[in-house]
Amino acid sequence: MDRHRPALTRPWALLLAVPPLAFLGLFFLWPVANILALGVAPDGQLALGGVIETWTEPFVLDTVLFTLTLAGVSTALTLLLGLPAAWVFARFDFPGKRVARALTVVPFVLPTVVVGSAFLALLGPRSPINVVAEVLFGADVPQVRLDGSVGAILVAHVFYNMAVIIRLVGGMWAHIDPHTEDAARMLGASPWRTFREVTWPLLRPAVISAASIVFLFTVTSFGVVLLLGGPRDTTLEVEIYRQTAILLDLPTAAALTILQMAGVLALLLASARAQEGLAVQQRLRASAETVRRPRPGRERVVVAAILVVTVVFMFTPLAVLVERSLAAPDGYGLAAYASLLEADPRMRLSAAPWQSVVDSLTFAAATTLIAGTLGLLAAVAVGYRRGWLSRGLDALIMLPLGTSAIIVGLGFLVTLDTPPLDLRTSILLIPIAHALIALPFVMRAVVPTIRSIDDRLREAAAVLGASPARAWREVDGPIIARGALVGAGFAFAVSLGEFGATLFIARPDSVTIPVAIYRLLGQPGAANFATAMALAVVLMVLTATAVLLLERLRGGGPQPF
Amino acid sequence: MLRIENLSAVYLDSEVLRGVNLDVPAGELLCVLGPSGGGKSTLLRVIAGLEEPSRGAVSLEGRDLAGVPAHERGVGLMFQDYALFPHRDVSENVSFGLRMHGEGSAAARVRVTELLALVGLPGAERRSVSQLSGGEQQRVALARALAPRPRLLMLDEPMGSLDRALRERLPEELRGIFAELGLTVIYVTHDQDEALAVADRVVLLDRGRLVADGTPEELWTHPPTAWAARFLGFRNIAPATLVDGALETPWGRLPAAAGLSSTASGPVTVMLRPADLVAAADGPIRGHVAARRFRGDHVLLVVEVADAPPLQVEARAGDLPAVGEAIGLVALPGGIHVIDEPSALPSGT
Repeated sequence: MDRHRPALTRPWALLLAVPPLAFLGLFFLWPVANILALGVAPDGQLALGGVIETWTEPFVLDTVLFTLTLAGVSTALTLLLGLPAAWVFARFDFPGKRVARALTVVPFVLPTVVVGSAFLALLGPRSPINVVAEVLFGADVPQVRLDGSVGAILVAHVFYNMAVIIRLVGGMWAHIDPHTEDAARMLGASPWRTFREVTWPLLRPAVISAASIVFLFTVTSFGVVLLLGGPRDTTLEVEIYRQTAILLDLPTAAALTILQMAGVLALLLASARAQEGLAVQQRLRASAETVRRPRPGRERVVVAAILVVTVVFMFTPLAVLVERSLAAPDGYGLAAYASLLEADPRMRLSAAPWQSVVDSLTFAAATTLIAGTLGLLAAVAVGYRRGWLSRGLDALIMLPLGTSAIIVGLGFLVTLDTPPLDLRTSILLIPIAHALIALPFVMRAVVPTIRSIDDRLREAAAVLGASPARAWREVDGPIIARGALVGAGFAFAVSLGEFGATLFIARPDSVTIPVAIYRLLGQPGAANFATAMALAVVLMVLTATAVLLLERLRGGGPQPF
Repeated sequence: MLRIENLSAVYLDSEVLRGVNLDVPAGELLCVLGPSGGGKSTLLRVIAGLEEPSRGAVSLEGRDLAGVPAHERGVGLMFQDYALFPHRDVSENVSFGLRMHGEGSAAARVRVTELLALVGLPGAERRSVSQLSGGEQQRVALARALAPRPRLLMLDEPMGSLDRALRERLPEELRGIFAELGLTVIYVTHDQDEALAVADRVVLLDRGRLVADGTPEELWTHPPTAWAARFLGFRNIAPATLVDGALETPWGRLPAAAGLSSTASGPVTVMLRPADLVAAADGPIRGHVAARRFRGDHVLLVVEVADAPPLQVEARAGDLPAVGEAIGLVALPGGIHVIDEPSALPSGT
């Protein structure tokens, strides 16, 4: 319809896209291209033959198939568990909902080392299942062990990515007009048929968007596969790490990276197209209008069952971390938390552990500033326009999420070492790396709010005497600001939890919380372990608090994250 | 056909329906009239099976509907906001219920064509619902609700968002369609003119209670309560006392209407019809004109009376006093109504 002419002209959109594009070019494309060039054209001569030779090696096909299968099954399982949870959080009111919803984000930002140790405790030889079995049936019962298997990887992937489904799909679900569902029921559709024929088609774009993000995360999942998987479970990401850091075979690593990036880019473009094609213009409702208490009887039982499964699944590993942080040689105590305040040479940290909290918060603030500003510019350029520019920028900004962290890290070290861009020892290196990962979240949080703004609001402002600029400031400004707050919260949380790239580029004297946890876990001794767990609990609390504060600030309105 | 017994419903801890009893015979067009928030939509949703009652029973054609899910009740509901499926075109919207009932696609196509003709939208099958005007959406929603041949059709504020011209024309069209199909219909509205124009029978719902029940004529001539009279649009309502066959009103002493026993006495509510107040130089009600508005076939005068609520008077055009001038009024006996209920309402218009 011609009413939907873009509110932003192409030159303006391009102008706004310049800073985020420059940032991506300088800190992502250039470093990655440098590494790829080192691998593909070691002598300055393009050696494409080698690349193709690598691609046709049988182990590559196996690895690609395993990676895709693992990501596909992980995504399917996450949807299976996440969609019911998204429904419950979107459509029902129950005591403790705000806190529970904020806590579902915590796993998403916990570093893999922490999650890995929690899952080892839950799925390994001393897991609660095995302990109970032993007490009941004696010591010779066969143990149930999931660690070191594909099963453990899948469980951890679902645990990590539930928040994406709950937030992204639930955000849409909360705004679908429940009267359309009631109308279907009145016309004779059973609840299941109503979901299939009405809710699902309206929800599909959000599901595709969320599923493609989960797929992206699981395709590039690194720590989980390395820590929980068996020695034979090799994904493309792990293989790139192995070729780069262990076998020092940069040409092979580069060939695999090109394969990975091309695949990710194709996925992103296809998903963007699918979402545009399946999008349905619909009247969205305020979430306060669609939410209600579950009806007594069957509905209450179903909602309660879904909640219990979600809470047990998502919060048991978190509870295990808390339990471990309180464990002392004789029962329980706060010794581990006290140890956060003292520098101890046995911890192999340059300062007391609490210093990592200060450093992490500083980095997170800087990341929020960088990613918030650039993400907002990108979101405006993407959100107000359709077509190739919008889709291309969107895919480009998402690309770092689908690129091997070690390649980006290595690229940083190789590329950013010559003045005026000698950032190797700069304190800015960590926030810049974090901002690359946080940018997609800021953009994806703001774009849907921009697209949800009713043109008529701006027209109403114009009729009331507002100039176009003024109308934009008064109408779009506040709505975008709310989306930006959510994006900023995710940038903050992503920075707090980032591990892979930080480990690679962190200087010895300034470490983030996840890196400190990793170092503590690498040292022997129960005390160090408890200190690491205490630090993990601090990280959890910081994340949950940040998310809760933001939810309070932003109020209603369509929000993906 | 539909029987509702002692029905109560709770929403967010407050009771929105309180002990409603209602019988709707087959083929009747019943209007549920009441202010917003009075429980009208909840009543429809409980009948439809979309909400659970906290107490009471609903039965349709003798069958208790407790525990029967919404999609098996065979009841049609047209939503206030129409709730058309945004991802389906007009034809797919209308044929949805037919598919749910297992009707073949060829038969469904015929029925869709027939229904679109019935609601005055022939040939609209392939149009997208987002391109329909408000009135067209309403017609599609009606066709969709009619398609599976519900035993009972319920309409929630069907004229809600339509313009005045349509609001005046459509009730007649709807009546025609319902009569042609022999449907039992429950029609919810907050607009008394619409209710009186369309219904065989009107019930008034106020804060979850049924406060009046009758044909449009009955309610119009004998509003049962002061609240009902006020809601039906009557003015000139005030508390009064019945003494020895006469009425003590704030406007002076008036003869009690015929039919009231002359021995009755006590607090009542009195209502003077604006058309039965006649200007007369020596009339017993003395006041002065505060405003006059031209209304086409009559002139509406607002008359201030000392120590009493102002009176609205529908006067024939002619030699009428100007604003500010004194006026005398006579209340014709046929225009004095006594509601056998003490009035607790604030006086005034």
